Amino acid sequence: MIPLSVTPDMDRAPWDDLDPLGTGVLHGTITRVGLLRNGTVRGRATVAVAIRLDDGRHVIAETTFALARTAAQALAASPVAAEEVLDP
Amino acid sequence: MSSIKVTPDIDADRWTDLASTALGDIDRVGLQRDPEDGRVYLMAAIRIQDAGRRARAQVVLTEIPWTLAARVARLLAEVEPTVGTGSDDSDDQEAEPVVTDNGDGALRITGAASPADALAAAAAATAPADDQGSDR
Repeated sequence: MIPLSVTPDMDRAPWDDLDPLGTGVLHGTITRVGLLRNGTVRGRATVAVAIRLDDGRHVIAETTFALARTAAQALAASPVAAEEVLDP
Repeated sequence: MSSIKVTPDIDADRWTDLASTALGDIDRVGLQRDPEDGRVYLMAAIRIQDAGRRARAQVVLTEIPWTLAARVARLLAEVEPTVGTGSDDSDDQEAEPVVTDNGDGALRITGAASPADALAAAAAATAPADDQGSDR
């Protein structure tokens, strides 16, 4: 299984456990988001995200479309998201 | 100003121009308000693939404004009717992701597709045709 954790309000539940070994967390900038229509062996779609690290390298990360959609819906329903005015 | 290129079909528009690329899993996402500019940001933590040593995988943290992320999500949702529906195997739990609230402020969403499936597909889609299987 691919687990995907969703934190609707990081002020209430900060990610203190991201780097348990103290090796350091890299920082990057999302440059692209795309769909792989048949990204899994079973033919399900996946969402891919391209991240440019501060040192110029790139990382492509994925999750399934269904998980990403569910996560987006969960975040959109959170009080924190409701405080932000979205463009029409 | 932040900008993100959205690719509705990576198979048709491959990201072959990205050099020195590693693969990873999206591990968690969350919302955080920046006290400096007052805006809400979508935060994402990525674990770079490290076969058999997930606990030791390098973590990448990234963020984009929630307003931009929401717009990207809407764009992808518009593509939804055309994306693959896959098999209808009765054991394919991915069709119905499960959301679990552990009471620690985070929700956990699980599906059935393996990371190997997804990463193998990403590698095939992003590597140049004459370079598949080599280091990226």
